[in-house]
Amino acid sequence: MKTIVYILSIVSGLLMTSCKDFLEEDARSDMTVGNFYKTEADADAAVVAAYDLLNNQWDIYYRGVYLLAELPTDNATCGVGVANANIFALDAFTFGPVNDRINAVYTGHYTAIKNSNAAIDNIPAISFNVAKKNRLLGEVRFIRALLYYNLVRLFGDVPLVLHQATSLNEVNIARSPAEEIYQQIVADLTFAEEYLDEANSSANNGRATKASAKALLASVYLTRKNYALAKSKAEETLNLSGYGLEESYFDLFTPENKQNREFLFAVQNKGMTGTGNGFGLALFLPRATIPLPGGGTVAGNSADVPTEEFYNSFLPGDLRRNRTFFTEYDAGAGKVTFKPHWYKYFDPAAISTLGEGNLNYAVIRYAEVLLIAAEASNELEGPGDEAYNAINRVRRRAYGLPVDRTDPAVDLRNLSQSQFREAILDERRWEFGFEGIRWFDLVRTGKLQEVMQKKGIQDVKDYHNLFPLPQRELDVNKLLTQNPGYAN
Amino acid sequence: MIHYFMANKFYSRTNFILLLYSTVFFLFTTHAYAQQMKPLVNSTLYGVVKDAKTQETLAGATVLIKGTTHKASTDEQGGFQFVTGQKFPYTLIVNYLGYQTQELVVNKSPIDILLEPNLNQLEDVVVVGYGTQKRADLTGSVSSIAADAIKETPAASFDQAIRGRASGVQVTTTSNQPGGATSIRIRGSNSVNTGSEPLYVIDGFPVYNDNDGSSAGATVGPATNALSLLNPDDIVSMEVLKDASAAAIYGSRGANGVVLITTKQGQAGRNKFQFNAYYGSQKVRKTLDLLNATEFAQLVNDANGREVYSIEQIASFGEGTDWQNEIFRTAPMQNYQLGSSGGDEKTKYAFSLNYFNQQGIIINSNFKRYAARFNFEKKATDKLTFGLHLTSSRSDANQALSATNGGEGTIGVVQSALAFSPILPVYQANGSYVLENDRGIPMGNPVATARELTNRTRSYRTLGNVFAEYELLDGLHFKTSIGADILNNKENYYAPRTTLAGYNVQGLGRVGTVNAYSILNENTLSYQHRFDEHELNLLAGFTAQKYERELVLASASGFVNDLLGPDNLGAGSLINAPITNVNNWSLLSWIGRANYGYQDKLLLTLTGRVDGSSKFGINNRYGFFPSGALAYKLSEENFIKNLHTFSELKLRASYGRTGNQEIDSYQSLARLGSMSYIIGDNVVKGFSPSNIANPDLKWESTSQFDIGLDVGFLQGRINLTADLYYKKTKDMLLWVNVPWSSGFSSALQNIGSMENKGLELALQANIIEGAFKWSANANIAFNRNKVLDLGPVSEILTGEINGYLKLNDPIVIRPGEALNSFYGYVSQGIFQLNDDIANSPQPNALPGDRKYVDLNGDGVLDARDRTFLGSAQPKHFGGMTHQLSYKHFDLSLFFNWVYGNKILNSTRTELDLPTGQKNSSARVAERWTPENPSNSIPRANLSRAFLFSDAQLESGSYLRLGTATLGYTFSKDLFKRSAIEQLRIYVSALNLWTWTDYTGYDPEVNQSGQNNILRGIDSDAYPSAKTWLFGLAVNF
Repeated sequence: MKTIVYILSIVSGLLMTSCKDFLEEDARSDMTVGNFYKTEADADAAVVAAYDLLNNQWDIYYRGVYLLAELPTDNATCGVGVANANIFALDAFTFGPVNDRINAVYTGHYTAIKNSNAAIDNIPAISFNVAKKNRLLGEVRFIRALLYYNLVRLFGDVPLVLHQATSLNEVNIARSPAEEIYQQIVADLTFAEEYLDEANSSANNGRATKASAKALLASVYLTRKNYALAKSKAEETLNLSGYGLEESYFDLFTPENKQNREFLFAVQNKGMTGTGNGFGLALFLPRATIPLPGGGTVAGNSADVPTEEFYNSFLPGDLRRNRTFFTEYDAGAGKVTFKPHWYKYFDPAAISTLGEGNLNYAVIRYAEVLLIAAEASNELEGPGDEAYNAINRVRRRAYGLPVDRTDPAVDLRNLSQSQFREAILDERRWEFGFEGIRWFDLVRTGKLQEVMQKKGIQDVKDYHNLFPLPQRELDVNKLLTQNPGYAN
Repeated sequence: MIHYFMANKFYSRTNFILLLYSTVFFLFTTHAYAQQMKPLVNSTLYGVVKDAKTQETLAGATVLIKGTTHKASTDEQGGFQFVTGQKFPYTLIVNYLGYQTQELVVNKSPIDILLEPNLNQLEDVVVVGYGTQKRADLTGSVSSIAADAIKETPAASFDQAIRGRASGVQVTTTSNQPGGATSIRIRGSNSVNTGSEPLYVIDGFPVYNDNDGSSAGATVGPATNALSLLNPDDIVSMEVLKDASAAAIYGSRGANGVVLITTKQGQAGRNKFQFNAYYGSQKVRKTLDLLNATEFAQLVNDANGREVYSIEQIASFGEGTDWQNEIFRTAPMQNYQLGSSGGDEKTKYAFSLNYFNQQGIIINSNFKRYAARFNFEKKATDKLTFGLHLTSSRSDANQALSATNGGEGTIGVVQSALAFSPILPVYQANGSYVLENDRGIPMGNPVATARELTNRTRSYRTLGNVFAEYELLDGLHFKTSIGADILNNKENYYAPRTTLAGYNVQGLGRVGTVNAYSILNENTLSYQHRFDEHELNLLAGFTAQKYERELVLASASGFVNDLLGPDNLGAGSLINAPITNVNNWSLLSWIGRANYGYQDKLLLTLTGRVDGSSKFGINNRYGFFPSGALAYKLSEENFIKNLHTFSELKLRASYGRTGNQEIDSYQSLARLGSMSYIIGDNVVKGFSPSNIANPDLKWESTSQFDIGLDVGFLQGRINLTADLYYKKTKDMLLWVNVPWSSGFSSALQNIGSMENKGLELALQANIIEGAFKWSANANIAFNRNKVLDLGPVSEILTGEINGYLKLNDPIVIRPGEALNSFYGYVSQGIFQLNDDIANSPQPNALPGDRKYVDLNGDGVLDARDRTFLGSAQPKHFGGMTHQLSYKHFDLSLFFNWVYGNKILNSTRTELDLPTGQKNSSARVAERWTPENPSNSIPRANLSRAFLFSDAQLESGSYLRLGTATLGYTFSKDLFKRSAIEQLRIYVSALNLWTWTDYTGYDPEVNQSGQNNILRGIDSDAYPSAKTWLFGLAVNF
């Protein structure tokens, strides 16, 4: 009896002392804040996390942005594969604050901003080479600026979140005026252009560079109608060595040429890695149309398709049309023809594994900087040599001509300032079709209503120059207000 | 034992026992005489305890000399002896489980004591947490389910047997596939996000049945039932603890109620064998009426507004393919159980082997189980007893793809059988499968999906514990046990290129394994003492439990051919990143309980448990869960006794607090998620914060008040139990939305409250006794659930619930409303040709479109015109069992019902869309056309857009004859010369009749498994079967 009591008390004594350890959480499969952000490798990984969501196609590039910046324009419409009523609503300008696609873009951007902020908050305290540290911080600040640049143009005033929330007391943030958002974008990009590498080594391909930051800054200034700064920043970009127009517009988008001197910043994708980093082709390829050698057809969806008007707007001889679209294809089992479908991002090797395309998606490229320079120059002093030279280089390539040799048949000349303005807008449409800029251009130039009316959509109002904030966001954060025109 | 086995070959049992009895008794008595050389012996008593009716001897009965501690138990032959200082006459108290306790005065030796079988349930011993109690002494609300109910519910798992048998316990099948799971709610759902399934305690071992947690995620479709690894035939009784008094001893895990399961144990002297078997045939209960090929072709033309199919083509189509007929089959179901149990005064054992095989009514779906059990108990010395419960089983489940939520490319077999074009044949002219639907909505050939897809789970589960109990002092017992629950799952999935899912990617394979174990150590001290009019039972204990689950998941696609499938994923060309994961938690608990009885009239129970859980924040790991209960047995008072009306009259009241910890591990920590990107054309890995840490995370707790009444009339022939309860859950572990601008979407917080209140009635009656017997059980429960508070959140939207229909927020959670309330528009028929549409709230509508009510009357139909349309929670539900017997025949009928709930029939919603892109219900033939101004089915058109309204909701009420069993027990005389003791044969019909207005396959449907929020949704569900069984049970 005594022995038993003795044993019992020892056992329970042992149990008591080990209680604290026994209940300690042992999260062996998770990094936790306590054991991360310690080394240079952790800093690298924090930066990778900031990049990662850019190629989350549903939320950001390409499709998240596509559904807001191509679909509700004259460039695109809903194909037969669209089943989601929210996507039809974007096409028809009947969207409201409850729209899963708008939500996806909003959340995708802010999640990526959170990842950038986590890196910005935590990297400074890690000790390693200062130049590299600044480069890494420059990269994440570039990413953050890019994301806010999209948000401020799509939604106007938005919450300006600059630190990763670590407690629930920090999550409700009111909208900041667009002006402040732009100031932050400029501050981030200015930091980035100072500390980023001029060009990437091949091991660093895909990272933001000085050229990325300067080009984006030029675009920001253009949007802000600060033409002098836009022009000078564009020129700084164009003068960086190692960048330029690729010779062939067609080859610019091939998988073989995914790293090139024209893409100043491109979202990186790679197929067949087993990590979900492939470029997904299914949504815009024709559905049940192109026969495959092994039987069956290419598993496209025909959800995202161009308008016929866009296809037909290209002038004869413009080689960009047959890169932007295709109307026939032979996958090895016979040629078939179909209505125009997007073709710019197409990887023939992924024809039977449509989620695994090996293609990078251009966010800003040298040709755009040329057109920014031309537009800014035209706005400042009317169409002069500089402006013509810049736009004509882009045009000559489009017609398969050497970019530096004048060609009377293709070159623009003798336009008024407003004619030049129109020409730039058209040129941008033809040059950047399917690259997610059309809606931004139409809003920036005040032409959304006019253009959409031509497409047959009469109900476009001024308030459509901004998208509604997600209703869910207003429900959760009482500090927010809705954009005008979007009663909830 | 050995002698017995040998003897059994030569003698019939009766003869043998007589021989053994007389021999042993002779030896025994001689031996006893030889020992009788002690002082103070005033009397020697020999006796035998027998069943009063059958005259069978009863081994293991306890015989106590009243007023002393002198106690004996009967041996294998029912015999006992006292050599005592007591002088004749004195009083004996004889106790035996299942028999009425008898007090008798003895004045001579030897004697025969005849015990009457117990018809009155009050004397039953009921298993309660960490002990047993007499039913009459219960202070809490406990429902018992006897082995008979389990026997009468032939199914893969025992949870099916709870349906309709215990008041207030709602059992809903989440998939009718063989081995499919159920979701159980005891007195309603307590929480929004936290698991609300009850805790199962199997022979003392607590198991939370998280079916998703035991799945690796390689297979597709509803989770298989982890409980199906326990053989239902091994269970002797189940007790459902419903109120706080009963459940508080399980503290942090008691809030959802507790189901205590006791498996069979041998009884002294009754060495016996049992063989049970049944074999049956299952057929789909009903099929749905769809358009035939001709009608479908007309719909296609109509929807497209042009002649897709020419008149000549249509004329040649006829009926077309009946896809339901192609995937359904008549399927066998069989079960074999061999058991042996017995023992002697010091040893008890039970052993069983089981084989269960249920083929599914969808081709290529099935479930098989092999199970074995060994229970053993040994009284090593007067003071020390030790024992073992051990069961081990293996199951193989082949699932048909179902309940897949209709996401594109993954539409399940049932949904595609309903929606596939009837114009297409199963096979092309060259003998290969037709790959996919050709009218716009992509879905795979259901026959190919069912037959060619590998979707298999093989599981092994071992559940066992060893215990030792030692009597430290008189009445003071120490018990310690160590147990383990070990679950191994291997899942194989392979979609070959003959299926749509595999076609696009040249074969898609996935394998996953889950290895989970839970170990438990329990140490309790119990003390029992009776002095004068006071009876005291005390229990104190300490328990520690640890759980760990390791998961491995790998997948690949792009195979050269389909020969190797999941057995060689390395042969694929696209190897996806492997997933490995460890999840663990631990729980430390201190328990205490005091039962006090005064004059056997007033009963008081106080319970407390302190739990520490690793799942909670460092600041709030420990929780205290107390409860108290009081019962007053009025029937023990003389003024009631004198009425001669009540055999029992007891008032009960209890109040207490229980907790819930069913959240994922590590929620309080600031964790980082793994990401990947391409830099330098290589994959690089990154990490970013995946949640906001909450170091204050703590228990969700439910307080419950219960007041109950137990009444018995006519010597226990009629018993009524009524309970009124009120439960309030607070500090709900709620995923509260945070602004997306934070980069997070929600954070787990302790916020908000919810209530459940209700009334439960249970009636048991022996209506007719005698040669013709009729007894009945009935129960009914009314539960009302209401969300009280969601903290700063005004409402919780449930998001998109169907990937293909884009049903957004059909259920909205708002304070003041019941959980599971449907929210949408109110439909109002169809716009007709002469309606003034331009001036209606839907100015863009066309004649033939659905019309909705502009509820707020602002002249515009928009989201503000939505309202609550009813709830998936029933107004009442219950069950009723009738048992009749006459001579050798017995008949039992089991009914259950659910009344007043709504079902979102999203299968029908899809089928009613008259788009011609896939097949539709037969009623779509009656759709609106200018010539046929229907007011219920809209016009044909290609748009899939629709508003969620009451048009998609249906009543889910039903009354079902769940089982009807007719049995015949052969007369004992037939087996006099054989070893057979009893033989019964029976025929059973399952799901024979269902009275319901529900148009889907089955009104008992819940595709979202154990989810608290999304209940009452029918999408792509595996249909239920009607089953006929023939069975036999032999005892020898």
